[in-house]
Amino acid sequence: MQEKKPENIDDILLEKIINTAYGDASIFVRIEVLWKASKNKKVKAILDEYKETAGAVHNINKNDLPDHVIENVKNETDQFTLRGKTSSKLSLLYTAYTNKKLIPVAALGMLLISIVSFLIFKEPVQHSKYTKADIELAQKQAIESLEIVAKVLQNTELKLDYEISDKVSKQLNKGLSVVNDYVTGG
Amino acid sequence: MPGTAKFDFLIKQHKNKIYNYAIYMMKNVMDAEDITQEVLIRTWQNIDNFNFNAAKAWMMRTTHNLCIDYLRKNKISNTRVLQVNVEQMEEISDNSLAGNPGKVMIKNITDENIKTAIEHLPERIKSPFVLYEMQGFKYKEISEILDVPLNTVKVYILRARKQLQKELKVYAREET
Repeated sequence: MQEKKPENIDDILLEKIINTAYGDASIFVRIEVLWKASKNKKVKAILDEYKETAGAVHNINKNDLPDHVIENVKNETDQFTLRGKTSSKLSLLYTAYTNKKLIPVAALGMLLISIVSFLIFKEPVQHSKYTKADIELAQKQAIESLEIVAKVLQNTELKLDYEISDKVSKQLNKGLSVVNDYVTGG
Repeated sequence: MPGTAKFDFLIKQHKNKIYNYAIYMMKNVMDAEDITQEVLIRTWQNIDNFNFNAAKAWMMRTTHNLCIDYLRKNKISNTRVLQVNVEQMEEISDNSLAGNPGKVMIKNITDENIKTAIEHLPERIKSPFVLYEMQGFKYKEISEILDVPLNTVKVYILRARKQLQKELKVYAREET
């Protein structure tokens, strides 16, 4: 439906009037419209109508969101947080658990690798060919190789202990005592 | 800012904007509450994923999209409380603008009248109108929220203003 406009008021002028009434016309447009309104009753009437509507629109009371909606949201988000926290705690526990077990697991892994490699590289077992003494010898060799691996691990541990707790800590203590002396002026 | 503090701030700032926009779109408080709740929960779920400065536009876009989804799903009929009679409209236009404007001058516009008139605007022009006139968004922001060109936003707002004026004249005429 084509809106009918009064004489002398074209689309452009009507748009300017509306924008002026709603307060978002530029200063020049506003001056132009106000000047035309002072000269033309029709323009003034339209401007007043739109001004009243614009005023009413801008002064409409806003509704406040009911508290129960926020409560519902909080409950939902708390559950979400709780789930998130639980899962993160579990993952932390798992990580801690796996970290604590890291050294024994590594040692066990090495042992397993050595056993497997021992079994692979060893000649295939042919029960019929070997005597009881041969089997005992093989068992003894296996035990010896495991002992070697264990000894290597133990030596590594001792060396680490010595390096870190003894050598490094001694050097650190020395350094700190130098700093202390310097600070206290001793 | 930690997630919870950021979320609380966003709720405080935008909850009523979301709610009021949803009311005008859905034309009922219950759906508006549901939509607001959904938007706030989605905001919480995405709190770490979006830029804090873009949060307002993101929340309003989500609100708008949810309203459109709800309207489509529920097939809310746009039955108008006040049916605007086309003939009556033409008569009013003739009288008000060309003849004697004062005769149908809109007097004493009540909040309820204007709210209802806004609610009954076609959705396409209602959204930018509500966002601009009632929520204080800028043209550019509305263009981003509704994903329409900036000039289209301006045109829609102008159309909404004209349409609203017509609707209010019908109210004024009925009351006299």
